[in-house]
Amino acid sequence: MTNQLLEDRSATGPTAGASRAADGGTPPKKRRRASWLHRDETVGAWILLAPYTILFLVAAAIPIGYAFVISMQKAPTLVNPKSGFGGFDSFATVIGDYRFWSTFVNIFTLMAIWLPIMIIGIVALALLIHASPGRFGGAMRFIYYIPGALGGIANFVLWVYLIDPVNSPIAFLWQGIGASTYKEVITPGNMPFILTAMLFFQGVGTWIVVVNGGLNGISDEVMEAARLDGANAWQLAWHVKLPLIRPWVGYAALMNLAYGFQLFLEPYLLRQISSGSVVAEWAPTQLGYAFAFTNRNFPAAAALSIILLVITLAIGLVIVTRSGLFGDDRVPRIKKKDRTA
Amino acid sequence: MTRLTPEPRVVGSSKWNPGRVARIVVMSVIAAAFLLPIIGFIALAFGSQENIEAGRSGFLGLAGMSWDNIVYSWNQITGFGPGNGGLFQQWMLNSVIVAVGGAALALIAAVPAGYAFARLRFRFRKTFLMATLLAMVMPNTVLVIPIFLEVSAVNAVGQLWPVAVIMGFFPFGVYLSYIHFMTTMPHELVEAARIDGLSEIRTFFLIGLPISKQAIALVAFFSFVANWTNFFLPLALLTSSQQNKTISIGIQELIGASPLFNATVAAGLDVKLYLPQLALATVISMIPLLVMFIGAQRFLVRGQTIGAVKG
Amino acid sequence: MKTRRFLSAGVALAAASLLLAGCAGGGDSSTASNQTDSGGKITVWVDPPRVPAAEAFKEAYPDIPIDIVQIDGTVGGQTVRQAFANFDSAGQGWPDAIFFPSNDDIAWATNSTSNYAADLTDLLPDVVKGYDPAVISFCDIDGQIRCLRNDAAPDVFWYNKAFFDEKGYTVPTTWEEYADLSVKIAQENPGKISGFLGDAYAVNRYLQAAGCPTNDRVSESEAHINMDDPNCQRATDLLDTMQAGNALSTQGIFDGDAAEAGANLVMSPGAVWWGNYLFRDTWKIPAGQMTAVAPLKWEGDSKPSTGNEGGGLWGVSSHITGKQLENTLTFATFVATDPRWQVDLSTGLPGYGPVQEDWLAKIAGDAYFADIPTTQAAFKSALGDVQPYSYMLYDTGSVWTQTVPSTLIGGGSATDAIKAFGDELVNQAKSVGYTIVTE
Repeated sequence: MTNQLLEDRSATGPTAGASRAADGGTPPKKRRRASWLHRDETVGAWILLAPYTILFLVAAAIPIGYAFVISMQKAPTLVNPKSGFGGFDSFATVIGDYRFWSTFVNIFTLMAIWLPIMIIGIVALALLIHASPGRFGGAMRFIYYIPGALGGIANFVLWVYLIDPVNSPIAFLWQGIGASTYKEVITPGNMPFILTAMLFFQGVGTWIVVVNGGLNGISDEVMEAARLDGANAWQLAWHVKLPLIRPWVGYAALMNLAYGFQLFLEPYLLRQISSGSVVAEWAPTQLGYAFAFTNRNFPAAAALSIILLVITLAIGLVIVTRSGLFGDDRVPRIKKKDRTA
Repeated sequence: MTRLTPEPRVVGSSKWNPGRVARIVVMSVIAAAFLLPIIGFIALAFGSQENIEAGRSGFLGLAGMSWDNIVYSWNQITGFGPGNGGLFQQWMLNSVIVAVGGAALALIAAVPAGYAFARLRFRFRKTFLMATLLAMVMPNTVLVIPIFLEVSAVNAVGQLWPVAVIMGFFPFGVYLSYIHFMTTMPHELVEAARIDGLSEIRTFFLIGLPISKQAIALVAFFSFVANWTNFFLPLALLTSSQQNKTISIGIQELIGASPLFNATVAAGLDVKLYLPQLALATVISMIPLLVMFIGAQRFLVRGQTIGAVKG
Repeated sequence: MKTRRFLSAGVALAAASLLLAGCAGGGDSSTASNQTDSGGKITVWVDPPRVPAAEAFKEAYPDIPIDIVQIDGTVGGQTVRQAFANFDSAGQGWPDAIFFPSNDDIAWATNSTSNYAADLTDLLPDVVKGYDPAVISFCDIDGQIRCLRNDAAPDVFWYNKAFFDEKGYTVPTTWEEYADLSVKIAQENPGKISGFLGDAYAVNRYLQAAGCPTNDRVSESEAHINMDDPNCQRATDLLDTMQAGNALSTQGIFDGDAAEAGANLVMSPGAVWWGNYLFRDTWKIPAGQMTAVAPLKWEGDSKPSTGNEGGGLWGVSSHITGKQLENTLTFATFVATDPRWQVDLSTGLPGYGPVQEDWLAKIAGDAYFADIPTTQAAFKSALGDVQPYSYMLYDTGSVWTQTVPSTLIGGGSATDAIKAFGDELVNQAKSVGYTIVTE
């Protein structure tokens, strides 16, 4: 969760200061070059790209291709250990599994609660910080960011402490809902709320910094003009700033949406600390894990991975092509959400 | 807890008006809500189970802190494991190995790749860049099972090196250095080098690399942090070898051996891992991140120049 | 369009990787035919409570080089299964001997795809002979003995004698009396409880004891599950009465925060190992209170009928041979039969017959139970009252923990909870690949 620069990212917005000349390898004006020179350039480029290309193949392309191959096989299950070509049977197994839809229902329930809170929280706090220039604003931004610096498992242990219905500083909350043991706090009905709290706490700071970067990109002239028109702070935020940072908000929403589909660590460990009272296959990734390691149905696990891949790839395509943040002639600094599971 | 907007009616005024007070109060309350749990958690690492059970730890456990508790908890954590324990240190070491190894690979791959994307022309440049962007915004967990199948096909499950190699694939790093060269290395420089007869490779090493300290620091930092906190990949690849676990899944094993969550298993252990011990293990596991953060801070703060130059 | 170009390149890339993958993913199914020999060094996997067993072996046989790996001992945990899925697909890496954290593990370990656990019928005939057939029956898979039992874990009937004496209650002898008395006690002494429903072994405590078919192996691919069976019905009625009368805790015996509830436990069916492991070591109930009597009968039956909670299993790898196998068998024999572990250190009643008496004699020395002779007799007699139960590829205990406690905490009745349990159980059994028969 810490893949984020802490600094002001002034003048890097998609809406402001976007450079024209920043287009990739092609300089602004066309150049005529001898073809041998061009070939030299191509060869040089691929030599420089070689290490990355190898890693790209090993860590992305081959696993995806391999997963596709495996998903086409017939599963040698524990009960019927015969293998062979199975066509799309594995996909049918996955979609027909009695837990498949429930894992997605779980994720969508979580999203329905978490995403709006997350987005409103990010935008509201980013606007608040932007309205507080100087030391106070900077200090607040830093404080909001701190929980994000705790990586996945660290954030989880922190929440083990917060969920503790006896000794936690927020134990009164848990006692208020009549819970006195971990198991009574971590019920299936409470899962979306607990996860929302965990993910919000861990993620909001990082995104505040991102959206704040967008806000800092709004040019002074725009703000000044709005002020001269007599806009108050509320109007400024609502009518000027918000529309201008919409790409960032959209980016944040989509990245968080994609993140939701890969949730694993939190429900996996919540089950562990609630003595198994949460289902083992709460999230789709957990179902994939169960296919692979409990049922030993690797084709089904691969098929589920491909389904998740297609979903997140679709979201990714929207982000990359539609958000306006990755356009060829403007290259703002944005962040990779994270690589933490 | 979230207000849509601040209240202030007048902007730009340094006067204490109700709107300004409301904004500062709201922001401070939220800051407290973020900070207090973390303070309490660090205090917990200095606490003891007896004091907590007896309710003697005071507000946020601040009254129950002592160095003796840390020593006791450290002995519990490091005593975990067969024989004389020592698994915790081993796990930390493993995490250092994969996180540093992964970051080194990421650097070797990302900096030249970013340069090539930014300043060279070749077929499939846009396509490859697009695939990199996609890989960057895609949550990497969805690929873990396929990666497990791949690593299993070459019989390397349970070993550290495949984890480091997979971690070396860091498209965000490529993107960072792409932006870096895009903004700090003018085309004219490349052209001039070509006219001087420098090959593309030498241009990169003689001109590109010397000005990429900033990009190197950022890629190394972000990659190290991502590797250190990665959970699902080590879980899938390293679970079968207790000696080769990383700290992130090691802490999970500590949770599983805690009397809080598994009383009967814990009854068979010499060490007792209550929340103070788990908190200490977690806090210690964060120290390398802190060190990296302090080391890279200079570059993080200056990071804005990357973006600013091109403005 | 760049998108189209990207897609076409993606297809090309995928095609290339298919080729590569095709080369990599050739033969994968490994068989037990290539047994290896390390020349003597052995690796054993033990959960934390069994580490002393391995240490005792190391001390007794200093000449045998041994690597002791401590594994996650969570009952129903997935890490060991995952590790074995890795080993089986890699065709290497297995430990030479293991203490299975869950007894269900024996199902996949003996399944034809894994085939990890060696057939010990001919490898250790004398050790096998030393077991009571009822005790070793859990290791008997299609006529082969595939594991050794560490401890026998039949359920006896535990009660707090100090409490019963003080209040003048009579110890029940039938399940129906148990239910009625539990409600009476809960009414007269609010907070006192007579059972735990939140752990994986509650299935064995109540459903197995009632003879309810949850785990009935018909063949390798068929399972008999029928929650409408009258035997399941009587267990459900029993739990409904007790739950409605506030006599049960939704916590599990393994829960970290169960010690408080444990101190309020006045009676319950429970395994032999509850005595030392739970009451004495985990919950720290003072000596002279808890004591055991023979298991309960169902009204109308002539014999008591009871469940079995765990009683761990030792497995030996089928992938080794020669000196390595010889040393591993020495290890297995030691941990299953040697008094230096089974009597001196182990908290459970030894599964191996010849050392049981010594262990029972040790109870007298400990002077922990309130009525030692009755407890000793109960431990022995319960061995023969255990109802049949097969360990299956689906995890009945996990299905229980994720359905029953949450339904009850959510306000449902025991009937609702067991209904949810049954539905999920059938789903999971089908998902693993079983055909369900109801007869």
